[in-house]
Amino acid sequence: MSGHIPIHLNVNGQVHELSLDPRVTLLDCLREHLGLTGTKKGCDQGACGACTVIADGERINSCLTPAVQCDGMEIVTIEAMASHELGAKVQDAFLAYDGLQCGYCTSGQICSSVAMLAEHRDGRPSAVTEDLAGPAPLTDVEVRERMAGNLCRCGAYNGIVAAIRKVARP
Amino acid sequence: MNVAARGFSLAMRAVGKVSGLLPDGRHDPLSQAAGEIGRDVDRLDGPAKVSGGIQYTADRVPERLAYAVTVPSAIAKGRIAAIDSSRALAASGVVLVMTHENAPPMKPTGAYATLRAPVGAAAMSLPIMNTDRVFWHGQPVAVVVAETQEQAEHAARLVEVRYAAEPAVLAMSDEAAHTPVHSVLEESKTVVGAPHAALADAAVVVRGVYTTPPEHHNALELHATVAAWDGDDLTVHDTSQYPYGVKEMLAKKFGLPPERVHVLAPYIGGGFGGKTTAWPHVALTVAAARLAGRPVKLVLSRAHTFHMTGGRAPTRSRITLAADAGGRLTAIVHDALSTCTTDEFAEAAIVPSRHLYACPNLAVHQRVVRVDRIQNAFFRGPGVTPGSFALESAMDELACRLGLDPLELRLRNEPGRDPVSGHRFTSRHLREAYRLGAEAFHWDERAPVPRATRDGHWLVGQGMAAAINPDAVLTAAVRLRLHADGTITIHSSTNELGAGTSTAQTQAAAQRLGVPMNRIRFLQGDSDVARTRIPGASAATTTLASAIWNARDRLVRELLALAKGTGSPLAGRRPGELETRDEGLFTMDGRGETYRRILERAGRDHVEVTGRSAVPYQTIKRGTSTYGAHFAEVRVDEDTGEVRVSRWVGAFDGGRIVSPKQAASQMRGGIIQGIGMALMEETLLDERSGRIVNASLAEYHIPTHADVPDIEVHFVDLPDPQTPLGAKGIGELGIVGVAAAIANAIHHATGRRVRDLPITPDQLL
Repeated sequence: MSGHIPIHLNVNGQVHELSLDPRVTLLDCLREHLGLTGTKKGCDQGACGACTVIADGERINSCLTPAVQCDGMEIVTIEAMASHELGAKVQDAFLAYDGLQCGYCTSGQICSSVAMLAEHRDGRPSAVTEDLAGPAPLTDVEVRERMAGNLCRCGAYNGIVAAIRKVARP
Repeated sequence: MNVAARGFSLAMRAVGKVSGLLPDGRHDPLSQAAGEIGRDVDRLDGPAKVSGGIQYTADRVPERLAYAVTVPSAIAKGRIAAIDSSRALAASGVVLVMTHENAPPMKPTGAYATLRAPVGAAAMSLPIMNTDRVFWHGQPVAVVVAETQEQAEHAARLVEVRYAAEPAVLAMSDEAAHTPVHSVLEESKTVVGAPHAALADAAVVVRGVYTTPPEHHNALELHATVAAWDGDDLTVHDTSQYPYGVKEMLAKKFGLPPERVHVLAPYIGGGFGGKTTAWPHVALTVAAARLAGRPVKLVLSRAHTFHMTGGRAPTRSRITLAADAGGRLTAIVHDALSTCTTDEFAEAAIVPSRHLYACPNLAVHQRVVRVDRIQNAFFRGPGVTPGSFALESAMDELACRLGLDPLELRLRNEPGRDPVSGHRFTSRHLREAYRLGAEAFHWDERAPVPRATRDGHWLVGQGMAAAINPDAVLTAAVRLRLHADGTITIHSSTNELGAGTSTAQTQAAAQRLGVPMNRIRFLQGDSDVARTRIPGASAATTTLASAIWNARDRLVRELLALAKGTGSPLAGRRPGELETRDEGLFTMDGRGETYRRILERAGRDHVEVTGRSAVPYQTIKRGTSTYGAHFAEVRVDEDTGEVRVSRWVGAFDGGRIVSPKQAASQMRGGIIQGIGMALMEETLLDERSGRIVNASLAEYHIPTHADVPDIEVHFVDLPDPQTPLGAKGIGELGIVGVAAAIANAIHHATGRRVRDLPITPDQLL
């Protein structure tokens, strides 16, 4: 179609050649064009985190990201978490600690947790990290700060923090 | 007081007088039995939820789907003088533009909010898009349908509307107030004893005015509808807490026999009352699909969930409490005001003052003001949630004035019977909840005076409050099918909002039928199963349990009929002799056989029965409520006024707890919404234009991970002798009293009493 832009997108290890309206967000591309509806839309403006996916290893709000900007990128969504070593552990821990209720924010919480654990392992500080020099321990305060971009209206926060605690400090 | 309100009061009193003649609730033998009930289990839909495998409404993509976007009105009241769709229609990909000029007729329906029959799901009675009238700012005035979401969003901005505005009533004022017919089905005005004389004689009197702002539910899942016509058959996926009510509403609006309308809503991404009623976009999506001749999906944007779905109405409570020198209440006077629309529904803040404390003299009066805003909605603990902020703050003020510990004040005023009706309670273990909570919190270590604890620039304080929520058993039926392999499927028209309903019901049904949990499949969300009226009211657990209990009894009779004349050891047995256990029917002395064997002998592939919930006489005859106690610690930054909630213990009497792991999560969820209510949530309305100015999650703040401490939850866990499973509904209870506990803790930390929510830093500087 005129005005459409061809892109090459690797989603969960599968390569897609797409031609997209440049207004299509990565979120709507996943949901409406690729049938990957596990990623959710909660606000469409980067305020809730329900749409969090991992793009080239970084967690991003897919609702704020035009799909055409992701040309050549590797995207990992909730649908691939079971085959992701850390992802599967996080999923199991969410279940065990009841880190979910309605389930709508869960995909974003899990993708965010997985990327957040990697960020922490890489020594990246958060706004509450006191000592920027050394590796900060992943305290509950750190987890809560680092996960603050993922809203849960049912209020499963305690279970989510407990799940992350379990994965980070088994 | 008007005639209707007086009539309602007289009817309530008449029911109260004769209710003693009603039978009690039937004692459920399961209420004390050990087994699956009361066991911690992982949520059964959890594996699908953690892998993105659940299909919510907006995830549906039927063949030939078109996408719809609504256009909100830009005035609060008046008329559409002209509407021009030509630019939108010319835009790329646009299928149609629906306005009041071309929308199919939709018959008006009563509003659910009034709680008057017929109780279909319609949120309001207003004829949206069948009239040129505008009733509130943000009302849908056009629906644009296009091939893609992006095209529809673009074209929606091209619809040009010219308005003839009229003056609108937007503020809550005393002048225009009237007494509503009822206050969440209770009397709007009650006087017991001689409250004003008691005030004159009291040793101590406290007075205060407490306000709560408009709030929106903000479930993370956006409201969505996917509608598809097939001739005169209509299939609708909808984010509804009440699929059966949506079916009834759509059948009426579009003149269809109900059996042609199929509403599906198995999984909902949070509701909290915001999806109890069907907001106008539901019928508009159906109308647009009819015009388009193809399936249409409409997902409200986050902004439009503020404009096109209602929230909690604001409240203002004037409370006067009087007590004798010993701390016994001698008078409660509570005058409350809230807003409503054409369809009257009071956010009845007076409700907790009617039931929480023993007091010989009481005067409560609820009033409402009709405003030109969107219909106000049910929101977790309607009435009791804002009302408890007022009452429980006032109780704290009274305790301070008396120099009495606030917990001790409450213990001295714990009633033996309902203070207004004089009825006995089915059960009330609030004292036990106080004890459990206070012990876990170490309440006895709290400093007796405010502003006693400091940690650097943080002032630290502890506060508490009581919680109460009326318990309801509503109407439901389930279809239970026993298969030849001995497995059981239970179909219900309720749905899974995240409360854990499907898990709790599977636990209870397994024990009821004597089979392991993995032999039961609980299926939900199909409006066609049976008339099921559980739109909210924390009523799913007990209502479904009652229906499944009835299904179990019918199944036993059905199986005995099958066994008749066969060589079965069950032949000739009566239902009362048999227990459902070990995957079959057995007598006390062990004679009987498995379900599988019964069906095998009869040569049957399956047996199906329908079970209906019993009439809840006990809730009419007696006071049936749930109770709780919150204990909170806050830290207040002396320099910035920032409040951090640092510690929380909640202890609750919700009868027997069916699924403790999920019940605890649900209580935490309520407490966290209460933290939001106390410290940050407010829908800001420009009272000149009627426009909501913070219609986004960036500007309407809800609690994040960083705002929430570890929350300790305890249950009294004693069965109610008169309810199914001995359980009571706890979905709403958790939020009640939370805002007061925080306000009381802030007072204890700082010496500053804040009576207006939310308690933002500017109020503490």
